[in-house]
Amino acid sequence: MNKTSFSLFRLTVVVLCIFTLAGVSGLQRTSALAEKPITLWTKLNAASPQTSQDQWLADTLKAYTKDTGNEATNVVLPYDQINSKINLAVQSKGDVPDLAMIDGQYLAFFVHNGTLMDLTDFVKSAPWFKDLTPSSIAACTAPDGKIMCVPGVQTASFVYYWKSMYPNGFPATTDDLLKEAARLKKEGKYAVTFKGSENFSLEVCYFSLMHSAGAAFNDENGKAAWANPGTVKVIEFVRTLFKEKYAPEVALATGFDYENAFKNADAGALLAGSWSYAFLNPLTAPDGTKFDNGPDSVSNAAKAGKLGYAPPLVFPGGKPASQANITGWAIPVGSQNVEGAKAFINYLMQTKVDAAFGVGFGAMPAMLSARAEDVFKGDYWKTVAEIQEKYSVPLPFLVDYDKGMLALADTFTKLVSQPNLDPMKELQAAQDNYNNSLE
Amino acid sequence: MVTQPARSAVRTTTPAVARSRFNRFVPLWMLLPTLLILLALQLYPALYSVYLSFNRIQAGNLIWVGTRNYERLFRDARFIESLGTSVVFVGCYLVLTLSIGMLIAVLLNQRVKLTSLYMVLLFIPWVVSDVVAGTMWRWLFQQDYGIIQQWLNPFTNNVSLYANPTGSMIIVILASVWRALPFTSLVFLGALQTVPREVLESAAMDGASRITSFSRISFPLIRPTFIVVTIFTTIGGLNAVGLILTLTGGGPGGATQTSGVYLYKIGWQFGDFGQGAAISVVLFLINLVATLFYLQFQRERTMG
Repeated sequence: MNKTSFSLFRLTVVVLCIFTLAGVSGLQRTSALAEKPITLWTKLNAASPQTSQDQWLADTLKAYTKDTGNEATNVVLPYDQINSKINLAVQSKGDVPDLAMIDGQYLAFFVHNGTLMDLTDFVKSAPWFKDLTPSSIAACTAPDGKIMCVPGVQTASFVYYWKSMYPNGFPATTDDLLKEAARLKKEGKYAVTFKGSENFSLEVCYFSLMHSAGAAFNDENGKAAWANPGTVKVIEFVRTLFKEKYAPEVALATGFDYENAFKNADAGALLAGSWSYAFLNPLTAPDGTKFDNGPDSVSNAAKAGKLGYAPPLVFPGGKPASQANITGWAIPVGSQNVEGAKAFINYLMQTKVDAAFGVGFGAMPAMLSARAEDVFKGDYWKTVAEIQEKYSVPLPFLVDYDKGMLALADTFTKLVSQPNLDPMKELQAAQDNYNNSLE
Repeated sequence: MVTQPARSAVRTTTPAVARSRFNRFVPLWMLLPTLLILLALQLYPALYSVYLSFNRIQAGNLIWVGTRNYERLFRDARFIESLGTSVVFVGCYLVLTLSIGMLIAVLLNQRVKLTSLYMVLLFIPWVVSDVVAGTMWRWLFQQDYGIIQQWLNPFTNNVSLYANPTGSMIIVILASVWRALPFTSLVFLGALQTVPREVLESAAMDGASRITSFSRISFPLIRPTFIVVTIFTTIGGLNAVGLILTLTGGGPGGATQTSGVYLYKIGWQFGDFGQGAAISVVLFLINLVATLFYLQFQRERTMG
């Protein structure tokens, strides 16, 4: 072998060794990480807080370390990826977090995939168990009775509206809204804006309309049953909103651009959730008054008499419905530090901590003792509590929840943007397609 | 009498022969790291995807289901619809990218002033990531502050284009073409520059117009490159996911949900990895058929 060839050969061997060593040290580092105190995955950016939700977690993690001497590391994931990433980590037996923040509507998804640990014994033996609201426990319970998560806060859907645009209060029924909408259209304003796409549209904006119209999402076996006259009635109403330009077309697009119409007072009302106030900033009232106070913008606008709250919209003769949903904590299968995760949950389930979670997140705490705190005696919280107490309805039970809700949401968007299509035919096709796709 | 030394019964190798044999394997040694990486990062995942497409995953365990994922897939109207959407998207994307790319290459081949500057500007879309490009294009059509939406409002009666099924597909196609133009233009420009100038000059002296010169001389000479670019562009269009997800998320109402985007939703969002793998196998077969078709077309033209 000549000198050049042998040098190249040695270089190749050296490069291969370097790659191998790098891989081995990576494995060792992974093992070392697994021994450290808990890792949690949330959709909250505690390292660089942008909203009151993020700030709550940042403060809580610091307080946890100070009070207990233990570390908890947060990994922030986008809200539309966190569920799939938790599931992927568990299915691939990869880097599973010790604890994960989950939203209740995805419980069916996790149960279907076997992603979460059964926490029944842990929850029922916990000192805070009897302090939880029954509806929040129900939202964490799988159809077979197992408790799969610990509820932290309980959300509600309602309406934010500009009082000067609705001087007689926000209309309770669809008929009254259409009358007001015609008036607002003459003034160059939209009556209402909302998210009219993806699962959110059904869980928050159309939920009350569906229930008050007598529409069903599913049958008792978790199969789709949404092709019914009630759903058609909702679609016809939503079609009217867009056809008459009572709502901005951007509401049909993905994302959250629909909020701008309300923030700029181009729309009189926003169909949203109790947590939405954390994102409604800055606000400009119809008279031009600006509120740029971060998460306090909504409450400041309300205190100034510019902004009001109302229960969800219904068809005449119907009762409002608000999704009985929670945001809470679950331990994924494969968690390396289950005891650490449970200890962190116990820390979070203290009255003051849960109350702070509620305030930061924009939802009522799941613990009754936390709800009794003075901070929840304001108008905003009274509205949230009243809606939850009077109008809470469980989310649809679909075997493959995410797939089913997205199929229905897409059908809604398709029917609204193509008014010539037959609603019952399209709903039936989507229903049959979903039911046939189930395993 | 001179005696010859006895021949050894064992055949010996001379140092020169041994060196020659070793040198023959040096290129293989040099290629070995790349081959190992290709095997680990491409071949193994591809074969595993095929295996996964015959399974279902539950709590990290694989459960053999045979062809059930494929049966469910071909019964799924949304998947069939996504194939139709892909055909529309790829068709428009291909025609626009190749025609505009070729036009730009022909113009740049004229070697006018500031050609270098034009090439730098042309390359900007190529260096921008899918997510940045998708976000940028979404902002351009945003209802309240999008520049292009504001220009179009008088003609569209203030309808937000990306909230409209047809409008959103147009935006997705335009954004994808914008991203792909640098690659196609550059490759076509390189091919055009290999066409002998003397041939073009003598054609001009014989009275051939520019269009005739291009269609009868330049294009036939660069046809192999054209076929290759067509293959790459087709595959890129069929597998496009990042830009579409950022721009429209596959919406509104599934209007821009191509098969690639549907694969992402099935596999990642719904956690049905087995069916997601089945979709990837189907897309691979479609890509393969398209590639073989183009290559066969090229072979027939060459032999004809």
